[in-house]
Amino acid sequence: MSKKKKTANKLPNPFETARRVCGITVLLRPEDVSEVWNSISPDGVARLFSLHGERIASIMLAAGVTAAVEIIKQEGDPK
Amino acid sequence: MHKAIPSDALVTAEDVQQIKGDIFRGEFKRLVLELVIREPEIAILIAENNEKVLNTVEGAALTDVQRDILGKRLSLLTWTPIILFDRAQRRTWNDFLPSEEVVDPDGKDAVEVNIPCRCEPNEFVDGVMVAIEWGTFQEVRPQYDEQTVRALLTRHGEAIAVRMMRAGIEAAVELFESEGKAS
Repeated sequence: MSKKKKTANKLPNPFETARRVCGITVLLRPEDVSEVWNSISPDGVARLFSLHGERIASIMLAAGVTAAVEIIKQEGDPK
Repeated sequence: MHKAIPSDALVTAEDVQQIKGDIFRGEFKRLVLELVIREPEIAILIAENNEKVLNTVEGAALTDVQRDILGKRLSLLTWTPIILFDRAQRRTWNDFLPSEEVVDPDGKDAVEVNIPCRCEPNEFVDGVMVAIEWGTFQEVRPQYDEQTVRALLTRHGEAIAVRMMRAGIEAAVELFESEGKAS
């Protein structure tokens, strides 16, 4: 059983409905890296991404989970 | 003047106005990224076909400005109806999907939302895209409940995203430097 927000025509708001299944999406672009490290060109980063994209994505995901767990612990671990 | 015609359409005029407003406020990219999380297969299909059309256009006698305008219009043309249908379809199934505002405080009646964790490079996206959500935590930190994780992602999403970006940049630089040393 759930409370649902209604739009003017008495339908649930699809934008509220869709929002609840979303998380955080992070897109790391080649220029993000080359802006921080000027010695690497965007083309060089793009090549690096094509070779090691999966590894970089795993590191980013692990960093996100670690950050989230740290915040949970700072706020008082419910468990 | 446009007259509302009674129909059983899933997408309403209100939905269309709402998405136009979102696009006007510059939120189109966010809408697309949300769709990529919810419907990765269709998002990849659209991105692949978009890229094919844009590659074809590369050969046309257009100025850079015209090409940019065409690219933007093509993106709006392809993504907007899918985003609208996705949301309308989710509304239709609203009673069968879990809500954030579950009345049961212990979550005993909460239904599991099973979204696959996509931790892999997407060749159709110019960069490395990572999505972190409740499903991610289920896999790696099952001790945390859905309510806690969702509240956390909502409140601290930006801080977590910054950490992810920083980790990605550091990893890329480290890999680049280690490749340089090896060669």
